[in-house]
Amino acid sequence: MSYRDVQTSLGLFAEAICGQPVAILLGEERRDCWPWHVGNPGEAPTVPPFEGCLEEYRLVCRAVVLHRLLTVPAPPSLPGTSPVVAERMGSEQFAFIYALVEDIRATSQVHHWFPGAINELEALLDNARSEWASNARDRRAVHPLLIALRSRALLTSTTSVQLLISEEDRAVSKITSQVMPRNALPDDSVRAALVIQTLIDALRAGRSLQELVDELEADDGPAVTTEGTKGVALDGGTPTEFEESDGTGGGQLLGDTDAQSFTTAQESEEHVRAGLDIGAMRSGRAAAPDLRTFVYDEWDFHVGEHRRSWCRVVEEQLVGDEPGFIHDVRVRHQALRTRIRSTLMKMRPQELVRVYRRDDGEELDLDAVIEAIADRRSGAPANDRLHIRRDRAARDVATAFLVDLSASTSSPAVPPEPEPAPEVDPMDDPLSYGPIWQNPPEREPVRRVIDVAKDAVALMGDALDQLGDRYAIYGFSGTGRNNVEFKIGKDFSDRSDAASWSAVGAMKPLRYTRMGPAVRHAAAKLAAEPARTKLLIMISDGYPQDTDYGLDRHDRDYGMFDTARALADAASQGIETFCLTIDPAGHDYLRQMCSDDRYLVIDDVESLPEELANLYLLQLASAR
Amino acid sequence: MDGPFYLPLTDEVAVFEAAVAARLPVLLKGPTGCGKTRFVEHMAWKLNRNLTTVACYEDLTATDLVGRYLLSGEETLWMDGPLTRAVRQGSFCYLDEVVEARKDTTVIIHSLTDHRRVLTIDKTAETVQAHDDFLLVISYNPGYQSVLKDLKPSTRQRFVSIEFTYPSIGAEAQILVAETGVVNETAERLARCGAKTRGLHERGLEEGVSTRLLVYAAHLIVQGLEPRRACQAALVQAISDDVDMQQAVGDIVDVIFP
Repeated sequence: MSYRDVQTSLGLFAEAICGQPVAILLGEERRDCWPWHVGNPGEAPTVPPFEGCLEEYRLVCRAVVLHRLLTVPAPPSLPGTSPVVAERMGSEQFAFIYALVEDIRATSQVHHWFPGAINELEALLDNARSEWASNARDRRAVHPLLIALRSRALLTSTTSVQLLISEEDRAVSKITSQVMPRNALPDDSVRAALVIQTLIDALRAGRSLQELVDELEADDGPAVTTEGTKGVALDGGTPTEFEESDGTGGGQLLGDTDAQSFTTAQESEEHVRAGLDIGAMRSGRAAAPDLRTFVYDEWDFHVGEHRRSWCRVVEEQLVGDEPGFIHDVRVRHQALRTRIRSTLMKMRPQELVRVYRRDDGEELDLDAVIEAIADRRSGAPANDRLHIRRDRAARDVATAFLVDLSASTSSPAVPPEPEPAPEVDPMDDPLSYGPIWQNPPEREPVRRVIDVAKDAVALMGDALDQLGDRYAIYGFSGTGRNNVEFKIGKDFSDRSDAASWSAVGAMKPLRYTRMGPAVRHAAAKLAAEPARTKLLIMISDGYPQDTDYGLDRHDRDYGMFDTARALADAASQGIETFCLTIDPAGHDYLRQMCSDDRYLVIDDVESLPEELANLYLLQLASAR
Repeated sequence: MDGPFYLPLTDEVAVFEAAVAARLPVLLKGPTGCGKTRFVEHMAWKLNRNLTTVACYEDLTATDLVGRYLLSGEETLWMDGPLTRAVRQGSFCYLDEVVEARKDTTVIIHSLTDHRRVLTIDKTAETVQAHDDFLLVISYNPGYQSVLKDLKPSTRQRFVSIEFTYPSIGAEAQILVAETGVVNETAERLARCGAKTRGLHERGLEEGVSTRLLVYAAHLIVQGLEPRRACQAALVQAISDDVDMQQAVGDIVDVIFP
């Protein structure tokens, strides 16, 4: 049992809560994870390593993920913030205070919106509190108000109240009460954090906490500013007034906060009420939003067994900015496109097949009717299957194209012709300078291997759309076992519209070629397809390699055997696999990676599209 | 007598009424279980018309809609299909999930949807002029159909389109209360469960939890079933057979209910 057993459902859970894919990280130790560690709001949730029994562990992870997803990074500023306050918000200490206040807000959000998770959450907080309390050294190092704040962040309904009787505790409790309502927003956390920051500054300036707290508690009192005019207005008031004050009255508001947050957040409140539009609130988070992670084993041929949960595949939906990509491909390869289509059309199935003698159908089956009448007249039991119907005889295929996006695919597809030396050195003739600079020699952009590969899969995809066969276009690359990049150009469920073509167009050379995990991931995606025939076609330009793919960088065998294993595993799941390479040395390693009829080395890169179409036909014919 | 309950979300009732008055065919777009069928039922009741509903499936042919010859004793008998009956009698004919049906069905409905308003029955060599009260309504779910099953522009452009989405949490809760009598708080929690799972749309879930499923869950709760158990039966098991997906949806229910 391990994290892997809960990973998938946890990822789905997080995605449902957040409304968008969420990358969940696995911490090396519990200390790396919230609540044992003060996390950065809005960062990818980090769950603790596996411990105890699976169900308990799952609930722990669920509570951690839920809580972390409810935290949001601090907005860079609030409307009407004065430059002084904005600067204060940039400090490291402020970030820490904000993180703790945001923790408190998230905990309270769980209470309001996800009451079913309270028990696990409180158990976590209690556990973290006891560890934190016993770590006295850690506590001495920071300001008493921060200790009180951390303590408040770990507060649960079962915490003994006696722990919270110091003046600092009272102050913190008072200030953070504004993030407790069910409609509290990150802006409220910022306000609370600013007040705490101001208190700390005021204390350093020699004011007594008692005095400041009294002022805090006198809600209706006049603005209490600290250190001249740069402090925080501790009175009530509306944000409008505050904006009008244009920063002269200082920073933020505190007081009867419910009223304020209602005003500032009237619009977003609707969303928050509508089940917390976390996705929208988190859109500014540091981690890229469209990443999903998956963990796969890797085959270590040196020891002859799998390395468990060895590779992390990071899946990303590509977004392109070239809506004209497919149009461009169609125009450039008109003739080729027609050829590919006519090749593929050869196997277009008969749409409908007449089936005779059915009990229901479009028309009467005259032969059957005559027989039935004859039977009836002669007294024999008559067959009542008297109709003809036309049934579909469709093919049922799903194909995944897996394109190698390693750095080497940026090399030119056709080696450039050596430039003819200019007959006369233009530098000898000053008059020619101008024209040279104005009209640089027109040159075709160099077509790279990746461009040919993209054109090839695009042409194939375009043709398959006509046939109605399902397909997906993926790319892969990455650096190291923890970052195998898996890019989605078009997924099976995507429509072939401008957006998905433009995503295919956005495929570009990246880093290394860790094939094994990419094949496993593509196979997993294919396996989830309902089609009867499944095809995985990999297009690469070299042998599998990565920074840590094997004993060292030159350990070719490791990657080769791992890829071979991944391909074999895919085959055992009923997936037809095929490797296409344009690497002339491909025979050497492909022969070892897969059987002879499962790979093809292409000499002429430009013939890739047609080879792909032929291959598709052959594969389907053999799969039948 | 009260008609079928329907909570208007925007101006769909007004648009539909205008289309009926102008005898224009109507296309309802929207995901499964968001209330398209209920809307048509409600409108038929409201406008006092009969409603013929045909649930289209991939082997549904034009014959099934128009009619066919049946054998009866020694002779053949022409039997009108549901569409022909509706055309003759002047009722609403609702073709649910029309893109599922075979392509020949769309040809049949073309002549009914323009100014001609006629149905041609080639087997009996008959041309039926549609009754004044006849209205064709089709529904279509743009979400999960494949490219091949897209509605062709030539068909799509013959209809007045009304788009449906899942209701907001507030409105959905209101629907649950009205349909089942469940208490407000539970209705709101159910609605939130629904909204959350709809976020999983692309992850192996063809469709999120529909309003219909939420209504089922609410019914079970009203019958005295514990909310988690009710959701397990009505939502979690219904939405997917994938164990991880069930676990995730179960988790959502689990954290939202106290």
